[in-house]
Amino acid sequence: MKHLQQIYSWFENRIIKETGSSDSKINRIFLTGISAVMIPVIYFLWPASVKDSPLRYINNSVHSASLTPFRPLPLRLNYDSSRAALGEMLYNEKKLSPDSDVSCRSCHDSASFVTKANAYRDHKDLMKYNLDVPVIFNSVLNSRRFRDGRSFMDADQLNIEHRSEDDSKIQSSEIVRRLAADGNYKKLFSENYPDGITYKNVKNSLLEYLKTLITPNSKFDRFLRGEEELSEKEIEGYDLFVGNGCVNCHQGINLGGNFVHYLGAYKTYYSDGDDVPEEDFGLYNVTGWEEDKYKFRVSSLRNVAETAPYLHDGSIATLEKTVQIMAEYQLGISLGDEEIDKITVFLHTLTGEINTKQ
Amino acid sequence: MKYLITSFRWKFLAGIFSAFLMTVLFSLSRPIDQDMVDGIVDSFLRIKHAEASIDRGVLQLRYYMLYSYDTLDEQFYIIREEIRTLRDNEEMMSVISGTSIETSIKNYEYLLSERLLLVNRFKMQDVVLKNSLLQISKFRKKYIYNRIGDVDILIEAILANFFQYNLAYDEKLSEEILKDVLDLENNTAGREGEQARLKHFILNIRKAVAAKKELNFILEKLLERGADRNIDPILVDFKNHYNTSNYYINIFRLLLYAFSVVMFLYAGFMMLKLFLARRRLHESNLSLVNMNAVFVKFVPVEFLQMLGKENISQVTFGDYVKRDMSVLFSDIRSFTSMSEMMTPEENFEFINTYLGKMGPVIRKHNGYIDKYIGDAVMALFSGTVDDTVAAAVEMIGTLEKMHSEHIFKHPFHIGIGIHYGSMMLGTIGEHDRMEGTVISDAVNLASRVENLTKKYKVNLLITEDVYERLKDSSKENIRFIDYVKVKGKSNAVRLYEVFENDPSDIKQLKKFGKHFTDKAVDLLCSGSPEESLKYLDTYLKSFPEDPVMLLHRKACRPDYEPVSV
Repeated sequence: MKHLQQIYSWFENRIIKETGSSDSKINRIFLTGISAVMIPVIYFLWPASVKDSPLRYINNSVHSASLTPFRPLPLRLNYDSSRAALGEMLYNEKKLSPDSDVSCRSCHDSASFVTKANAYRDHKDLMKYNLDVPVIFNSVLNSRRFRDGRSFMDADQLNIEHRSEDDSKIQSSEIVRRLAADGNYKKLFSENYPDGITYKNVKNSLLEYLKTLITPNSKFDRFLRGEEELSEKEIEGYDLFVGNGCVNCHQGINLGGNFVHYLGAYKTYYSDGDDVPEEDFGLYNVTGWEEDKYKFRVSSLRNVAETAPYLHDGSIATLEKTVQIMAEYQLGISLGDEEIDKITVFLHTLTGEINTKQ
Repeated sequence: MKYLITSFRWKFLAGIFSAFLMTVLFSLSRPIDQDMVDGIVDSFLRIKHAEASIDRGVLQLRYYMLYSYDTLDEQFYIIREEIRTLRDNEEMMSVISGTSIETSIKNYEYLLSERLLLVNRFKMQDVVLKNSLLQISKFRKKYIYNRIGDVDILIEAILANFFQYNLAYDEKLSEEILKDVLDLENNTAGREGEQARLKHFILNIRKAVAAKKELNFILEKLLERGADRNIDPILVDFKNHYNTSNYYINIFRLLLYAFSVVMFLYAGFMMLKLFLARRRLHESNLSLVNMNAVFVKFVPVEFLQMLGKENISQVTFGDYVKRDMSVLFSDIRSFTSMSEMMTPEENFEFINTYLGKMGPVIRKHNGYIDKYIGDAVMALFSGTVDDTVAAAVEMIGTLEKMHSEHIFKHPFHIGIGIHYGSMMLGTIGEHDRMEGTVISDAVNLASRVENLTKKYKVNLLITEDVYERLKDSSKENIRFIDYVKVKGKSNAVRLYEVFENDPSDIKQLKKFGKHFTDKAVDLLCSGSPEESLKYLDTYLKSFPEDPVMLLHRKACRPDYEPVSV
């Protein structure tokens, strides 16, 4: 208080000296007023950045992960509807193929589980090896792309690089050039993307469209959500599926599609001595590493009952036969007919609904 | 004071303006977008958490019977997304760190791809190991120990060693298990049934041992290439750069802020000073206005105006101006005898009552009172002479009105003389004591003319200088009454009487006899009294009481001398 009074008197003297006023009461009132206003102002307007730094968050680290073995497909994935509409146009666009004669939909139908047969015979510019054409549904939830699992599912784009027989690919610039020639595409791209038509944006819009192509509401999903009960036989099939270890590979939300594995983990499926065609080398054809020989992507079991034929090359026609082969070569066990039947019945519950009106 | 106020105002405005400028600069001086930095750090942290989650997930998958790699895939997805956001903010990060961060991110991506490969290998080996464990446990459940023999003992030993081995990796143990498996194979070499039964068991054990070995290798590699080694160096680097730049920026901002606060205080101080100065100015202005109002009472504004001055402070010693104007003198008749009958208080009251009525009349006709000389009033008229005469007429009229209202105890008369001439207005006295005054013959003459009203027993006399300047219309009620000789002047001055205020019958008589009286006075003064007498007599027949003409009748002798003043 003493110091304050000293400061007051100093200010008073200054003011009297400068203005000649001797009305010290007024001065005091004013100085008190100014201090009363300025002190809280100084306190509250103190530079905020001195007090807080973004690095104060550094020790907050809690990340929980879901640990359930199976999860139902979501009824709807979040996607950008206008970009997805553009992606649908591109999905039906023949300009994306090297010879402009075939669209994505020509082989991977987006309205049914049917895929094109004899695709290798007709489209050698898009297929290097004679492999089975996979269905497009739920593929957005796979973490690996293509039969040999050579590319990962990217966060913001769909890898569409099919390899032709002579290992040449269509140039991305060629696709952009073809699309840019179309005024309609030019308009749509500039509406949806700030940088207009680029190869990255083409792949991104295709990915957005792919998010609409899921098959939710299968019997198994409804069972997981508690909406419907499985029959006795289906439950037994499920137990066999888990108990025999199929679940080890066919796991996750898509019951597969997560990683690549040897075909013939327990029993040699292709022996080196045999005359194995090159197409059956799998991932080895891409990496060239000996350890990648006969490695293929673990296929998703969603809609498996509808997507015959089976295996990477479509060499097995029936589901029962496939289950038997899988048990024998991948698990090292032999299953009886009854068990195979039960597992097959369970696999039929994985067929979902194609919801084209999403 | 005026200068002081102006300077204060500028200082105040400058203070306010610079304080405002400083505040704006302060709020704009954030080259580092805090939200963006928050986002970058968050991205780093999310990547770190995702990496840690991968490690944790791998360990969980290994030691618990979990059937989903979705967790791992999700974490890799998250990391890819975050790297994308980092790429978007690359420019920002480069600004902060001063170097391109792209190389760091590329290095990190390389490390991440290594981890991804390891995780994929892990997935495969994990599947094999889990499957083998499943098969072995199934075999353990189904196998019926029906004989005590080498095979059973071997199986038991293998199983015991294997489950121990599964919990903790041990090289020696694995060798022992593989040796036992080999023994088991050798023991059952010859026996077909046993061989077929134990075939899957041996296969599974071998697969599991190999997978376990591989998994252990992968886990070690994965954990040693964890988040701490990959992302932390980049994060720490970024953090250090951010802290350093933030430190300097904050010093700058603190200075800016302090300066703005000081400027605000300065502006406040200036405002206070301004307020006080204004107050003082107002007070002094008020006293000045009051003082001026008093000065105007002593020194007429008209006087200052004639001198060409705005206020009294501009008047200096020796100022003067020469002008042609009319001067009016009025005096109370026989005031001395009247005042003897009154007390001093009554005297002052009487004088002030009288003057209080006369002053407004003079001002009304564009005149101003130059000075009061006791009961006498000297007024100057800068306007036309008609105004002056009208003022005099109204003065007399006002007095008559006052008498009819019996305001004064004793009725009295006033005499007024008016003259027109050139005058000198100026200040007289000495440096420290001076007075505004008029120096002129005209004033003296007006005063003498006023004195003559006593002699002629009339109210209002004007000189020929005034008469000649009057309009014809106002000459109606004016008659020529005499020549007077002015001391120190060669020419005699003609005097005229204004009988505007006389009673109407007398006014009529004077008006009708104007022709005779003019002639008579003219003849008298030109030295022919006999002829003048004829006219006078003729006139006096109609109005025998006319005091002026009676006076002339008496003076009509051959030795007539004009009155001298």
